[in-house]
Amino acid sequence: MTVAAKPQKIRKSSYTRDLLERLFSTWNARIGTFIIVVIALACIFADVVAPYGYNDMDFANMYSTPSAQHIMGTDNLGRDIFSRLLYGGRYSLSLGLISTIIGNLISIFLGVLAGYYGGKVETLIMRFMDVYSALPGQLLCILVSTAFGAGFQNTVLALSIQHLPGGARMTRAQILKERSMEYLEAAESINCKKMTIMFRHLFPNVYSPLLVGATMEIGSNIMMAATLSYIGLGVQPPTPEWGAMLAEARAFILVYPHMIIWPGVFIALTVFSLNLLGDALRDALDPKLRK
Amino acid sequence: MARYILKRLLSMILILIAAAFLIFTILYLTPGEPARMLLGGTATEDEVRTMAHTLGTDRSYMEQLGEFMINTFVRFKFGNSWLYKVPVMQEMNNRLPHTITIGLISMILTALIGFGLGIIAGTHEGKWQDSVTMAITMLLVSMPNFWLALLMIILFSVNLGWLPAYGIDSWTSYIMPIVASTLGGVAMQARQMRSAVLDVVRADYVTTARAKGQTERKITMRHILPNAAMPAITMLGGHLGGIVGGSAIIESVFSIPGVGLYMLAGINARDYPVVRTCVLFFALVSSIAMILTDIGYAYLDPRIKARYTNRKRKEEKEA
Repeated sequence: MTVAAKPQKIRKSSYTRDLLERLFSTWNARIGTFIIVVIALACIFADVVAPYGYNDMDFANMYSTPSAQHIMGTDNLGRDIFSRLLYGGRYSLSLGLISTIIGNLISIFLGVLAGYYGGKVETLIMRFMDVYSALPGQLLCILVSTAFGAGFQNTVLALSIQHLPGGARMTRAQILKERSMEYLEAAESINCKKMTIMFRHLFPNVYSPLLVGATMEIGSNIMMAATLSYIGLGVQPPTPEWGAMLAEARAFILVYPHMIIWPGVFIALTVFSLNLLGDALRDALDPKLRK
Repeated sequence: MARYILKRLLSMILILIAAAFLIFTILYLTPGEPARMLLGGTATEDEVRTMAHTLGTDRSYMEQLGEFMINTFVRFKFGNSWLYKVPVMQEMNNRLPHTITIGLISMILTALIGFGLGIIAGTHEGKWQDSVTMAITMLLVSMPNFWLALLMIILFSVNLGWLPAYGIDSWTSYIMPIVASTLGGVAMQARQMRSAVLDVVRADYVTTARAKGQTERKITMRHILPNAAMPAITMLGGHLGGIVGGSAIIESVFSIPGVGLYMLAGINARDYPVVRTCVLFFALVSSIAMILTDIGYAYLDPRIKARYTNRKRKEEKEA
């Protein structure tokens, strides 16, 4: 009896696979992914992971410094800081993620439109963006969130809007680089729909720098959200958003500094891991560095 | 070169007009009637209406916008604070020195230290200078600056007792606010400068200079720096704008009676003349910073210089 030779598995070397391999060959990407996954999972499953509820008050242990019972101490109402941070992470992480997604979707749409059509459409969109960016980003964000009012959804909106001018400009610049390529001419000559050309042909060729930017932007949006909450314009206490926790802890800085330290450590760790990942992603996507 | 600067100045005026339009519109769209907010909950409908009439907030959007624009750009009048009834500029004059001192020193430090660290890291690629700088800047980029400021208060004011935590008493009060508003920008600038240096460090002209036996110092200063500075300088304007935008937060952390804190107070009290004036001030400072970086760029980039100095000659030739 002859044994049929097992068909040799052909190693696929698709672009994505190649990219992921290059990405995770670096320690930066591995560490960044590890930290962000651990934090995200801990926040998503806060019900299981957190030792206490986010509003459980322990009046016997108010202001306690880190101990075996409360590993990061308790706050002015005897609430466990570690548990609050895990529950609060749900707000902070989703603020960063959702606002980045919304901001990028709109800015990419505008940028592609401006870059592809050129002419009047471009002038209209880009001049509008110029007016928008007459104020420094952080300032615009503060003012827009004043206009929208506090709260989770309004903060998401303010953060998304802040991204528009920069994002649209960057997308447009990428599109302009591709504008004179032959494949566009080919697509146009077979009478493709404009939308198909823009988002099936053009966009896939320019997304990589935008992806790097978006990865890092999740981090900077988390920071900006915390800043807004800190000055009282973002998410309000007693919601355990990280910035709002810092705002609450501000009053006790002289006596109980541990209340200030831990929320900031969570913010910094999250942003740090996203920056590591973004940096590694940029290197992996850089054709100059590809073997 | 003068033509270029003139062109940039004209664009600055446009930016300021855009900023004025933007801030007016945002405040106009902000929900809540200012007259009611100023009078408090106990005011009657009549009182609110009279107040709105005195403030002019009962008029149409275009009327209000027109008056605001003319007052700001033609008459240079910034109005009175709705809450305290004193001229906004009078209060601004007391507050400007603090904000300008912190902002100016922070901007200079951001540029100098950012470029310096980037060059050191870039010219020592893979050595300890590089790894240490990159690790520290990566950490600094990841921290919100107000948290960094709070940490500094804990360390230097609470634990060590070296520096005052609040307000402005003497020059030592400026140290922590300046450091807090500098570090983030320095870190970003250093990272961008490093990658700019890495792009030019293996260029042929650097190898040529080295082959001629030029000293490393001169190679860095004369050959690497000007070429690497060009892409990095375009980013600088953004970081300087970031310092301006962030000054409200830093001032709020350190309770510094500056323009930023005035703006935040104005936002909370719906004192629109105050908010508008402060925002315009910030827009002015950030656009000046942008222009200075643009001019610095044009000075370094012979192509831009040439475009503006040779135009006359070219026109003559064409004619």
